[in-house]
Amino acid sequence: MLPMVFKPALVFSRLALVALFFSLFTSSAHALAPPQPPPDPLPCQNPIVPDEEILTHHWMANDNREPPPQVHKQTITVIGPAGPINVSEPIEFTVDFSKLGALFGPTNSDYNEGEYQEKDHKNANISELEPVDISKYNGPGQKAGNQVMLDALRVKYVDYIWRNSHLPEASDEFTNTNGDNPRRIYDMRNDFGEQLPDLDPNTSNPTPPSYGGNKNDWQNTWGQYWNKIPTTYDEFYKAYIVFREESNSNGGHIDKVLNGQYCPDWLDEKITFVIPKYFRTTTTSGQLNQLIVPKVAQSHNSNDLILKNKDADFLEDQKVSRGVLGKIIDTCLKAFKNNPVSNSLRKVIGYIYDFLPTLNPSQTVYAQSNQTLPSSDPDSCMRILIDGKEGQDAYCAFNPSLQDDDIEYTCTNKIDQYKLDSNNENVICTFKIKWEPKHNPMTIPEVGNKPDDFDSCTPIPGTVLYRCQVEVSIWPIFKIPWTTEIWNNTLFSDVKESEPFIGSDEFQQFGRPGVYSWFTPNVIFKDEESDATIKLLRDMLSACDNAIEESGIDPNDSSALYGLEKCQELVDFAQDAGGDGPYGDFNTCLFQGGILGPFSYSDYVDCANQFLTNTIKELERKKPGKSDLNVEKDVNIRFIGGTDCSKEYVWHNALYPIAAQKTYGIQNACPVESASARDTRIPPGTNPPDTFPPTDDNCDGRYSLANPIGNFGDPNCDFISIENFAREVDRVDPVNFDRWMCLASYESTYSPNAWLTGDPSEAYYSPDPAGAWGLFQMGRGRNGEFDHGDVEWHLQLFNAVNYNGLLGGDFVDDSGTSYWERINDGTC
Amino acid sequence: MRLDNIKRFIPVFAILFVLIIIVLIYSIFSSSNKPSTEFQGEPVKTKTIPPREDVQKLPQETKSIRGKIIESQIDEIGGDIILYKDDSMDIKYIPTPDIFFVSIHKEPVNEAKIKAQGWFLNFGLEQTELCTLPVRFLLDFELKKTNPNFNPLPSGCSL
Repeated sequence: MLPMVFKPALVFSRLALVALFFSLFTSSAHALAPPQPPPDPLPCQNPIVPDEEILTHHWMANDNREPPPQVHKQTITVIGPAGPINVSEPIEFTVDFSKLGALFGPTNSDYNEGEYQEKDHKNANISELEPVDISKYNGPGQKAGNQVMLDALRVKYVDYIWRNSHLPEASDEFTNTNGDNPRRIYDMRNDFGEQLPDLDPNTSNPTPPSYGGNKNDWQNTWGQYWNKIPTTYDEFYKAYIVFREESNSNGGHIDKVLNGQYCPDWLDEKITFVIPKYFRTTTTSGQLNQLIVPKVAQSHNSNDLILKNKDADFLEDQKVSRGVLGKIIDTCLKAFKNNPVSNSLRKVIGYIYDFLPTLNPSQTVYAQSNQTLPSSDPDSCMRILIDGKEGQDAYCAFNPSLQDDDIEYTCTNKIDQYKLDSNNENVICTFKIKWEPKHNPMTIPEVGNKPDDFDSCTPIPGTVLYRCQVEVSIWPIFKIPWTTEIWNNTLFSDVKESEPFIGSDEFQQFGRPGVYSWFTPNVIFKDEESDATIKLLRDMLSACDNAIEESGIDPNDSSALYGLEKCQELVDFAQDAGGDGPYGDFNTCLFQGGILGPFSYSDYVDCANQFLTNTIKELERKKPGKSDLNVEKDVNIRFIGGTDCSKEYVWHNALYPIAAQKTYGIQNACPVESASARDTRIPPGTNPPDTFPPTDDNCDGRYSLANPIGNFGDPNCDFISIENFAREVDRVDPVNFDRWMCLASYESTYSPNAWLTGDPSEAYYSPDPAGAWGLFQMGRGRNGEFDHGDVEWHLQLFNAVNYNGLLGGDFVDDSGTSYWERINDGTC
Repeated sequence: MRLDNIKRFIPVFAILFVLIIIVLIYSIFSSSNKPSTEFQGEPVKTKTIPPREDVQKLPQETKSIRGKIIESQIDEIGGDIILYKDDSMDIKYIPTPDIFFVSIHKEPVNEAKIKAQGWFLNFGLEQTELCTLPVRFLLDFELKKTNPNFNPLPSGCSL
């Protein structure tokens, strides 16, 4: 028996958890639920449009970033006279939608929820089950959660199914605990007083006993069915197949993509399809985390995405908001490399790959291909290495009415038990998309001139025609909602383990999730209040501040600080903080420019504030579902909880004896691994452009060089045109192309050597005392490493794009303020 | 007319004379400040750098004139299509953003702007069509400092 003093705390804790569950669903008042039509399931119709934030891009490519061989470095041949020529090459490929549905599916959600969606489960006679069978009947969620928690979820479930009669499960029947009297949710509501359950015993609606409802009343009505009610529903979402392309024009572009230097260009083609089960998988995994993970270890954010995406107003905002559109996840090539999500998906897509052998460009008037039909050598295909995701799950056939644009296709039917829209005959579909170069028309040069748009051009004897060739690669990309979120919530191993103990290859049940948050490294859940790095510096500042106040010295008197012990500690700390340590940036800020001090107290405060702001942003970014822009080795990632690492951390630290940990050299630290993609424009892993020192060269009079350091922006004199700059912007950050062009127009009128003084005595001056420099009129480091316009123009662009990346890719910080005034005033 | 009568009308003549002078002075000064292509109607809403796809939405006739303007190319530098050039300004078409830029190099900047607009209008465009063509004006950076309120949009356009 607990002492009385603990009971209020328990009640409060319970209420807090219940409140948390509500965030899984949109809330709605249903005490007076309006009449509803009988269930009329319309599976696969009216799918929810996912906002870009929940879409994860899964590239169809191997570890070398090469797309399938049929579309990799294929030579396109064009014949025509010198001059511009429109090039368009049709490409056909086939998708078996009955396989696509299995990417993620009931495997995970049914495991989490104990197969509550299965017909047998809904009709089982559970009154006669032995305890061991009851245990099997319930999923992890039902076993782990107490009745209060489960009741709250089921009340929401019933409400949602009642209000959404088009969902397939609205017509599902449940038998009572004895396996008798099958009823739909619709029937239960009609038969049990035409009211839906709620959690308030003071209303006339039925209320589960755990919330104070009358036990007898409950058992005679909803209670007969209650333990069979699932805790979450299924929803249908749109997913997409899109394409990126790169041709070798100007030489080596495809290889640059393979090296991670370029992100290939989008093709203007999109195929929309519908996926079931993902939402349910996401919610069940999220519920499971919340049910059994201590609250202090739970993600604050992971289920926010679900909430947002269920809100119509929010969705509408997504459509119209420039800011959100600016967040289009411009996934680059990290997504398919070394992460469990993309690895497993790639294997599944590899399965589909068997159905994708026909890429067959046909001749056009001026364009033709010498491409031979690809071989179907299975060894060259991406293969599924493990089981667990093979086979079929529930799926939706291809629905032409969901396509934004006309798309050419032919489909054949396939009849099986998994097809949800059983009247739809478009199951195996062949699509015809069109490859066009980004800059169409291409140009065939006169004889003797080097082609810009083609790899080679040779005249055809006796004619005015040329035969030009260019290599093309196309990357199919599957934009799938929720995958990151699901992986935020679950652990899953598809790699072989080398150690024969719990969690090893023999132990792991592939295809089943674990619960990552149990042992997720602390770093993920660090916050401003508890972070030791932040606290230490704040404490030191505070101690020095108090000492100044007590002593009455002038805080701007830098040398006086040395006389105060607490301030001397701060001074010593700052001096010793250089290098790669956690306070390196604080030290760098203080001693930038080689100034050795002494510094005033306000200098310390300024640098500390800058450091703390960045540190806090960093912490926030590391929460699940957020992008971490600053991880050194993987610049462009969406943090998903370090799944495999987390698992190993558990095994090693929780299950290994200390002696074994020492023997194996096991550390407690879990390096932050991550997967999927982030909202970025710079391809991940891309090194900054080379740096070049300023020169005195005015590039044939192009620049006045009216600045203190000379030609800093174009020392190689290769900023030859606005077009040249525009192409670079389009390559580096095509999503924000218009905004960068607008900013450079206003800030510098496209002059990489533009300079504005920071001297306030001048009539026209920059707010940054170091002045405003270059194309985007940035500073000299006042706001961090990317706040540098005083560099060569490629680096100016790189810095600006990365600076915006730090802001979240939306040009404004958390307070809605931009670094650039032209964003603030709405001009750009 | 008797002298008395004439004297009686002197104040009236004086007032009329003053009024005429005021009107004349006003019209002279106001016309000198007004560009010849001053747009009198409702300003056309546009963006500084409109999305590239907006050009596809232009009327066919405008597109046709647009094509003729680009065909009037006199030079090409690094992909910039040079259409007109003199000491005070140059007009160029930039293919990737699909936009016409007028770079102004000398004072008086407003005269150059008017002149450039006239150059476009001579192809048969209406003033408002310059907003969506789109035409934009750039001042050399040093001129920008002395003309901080310079409007980069053609007359008759607004953001």
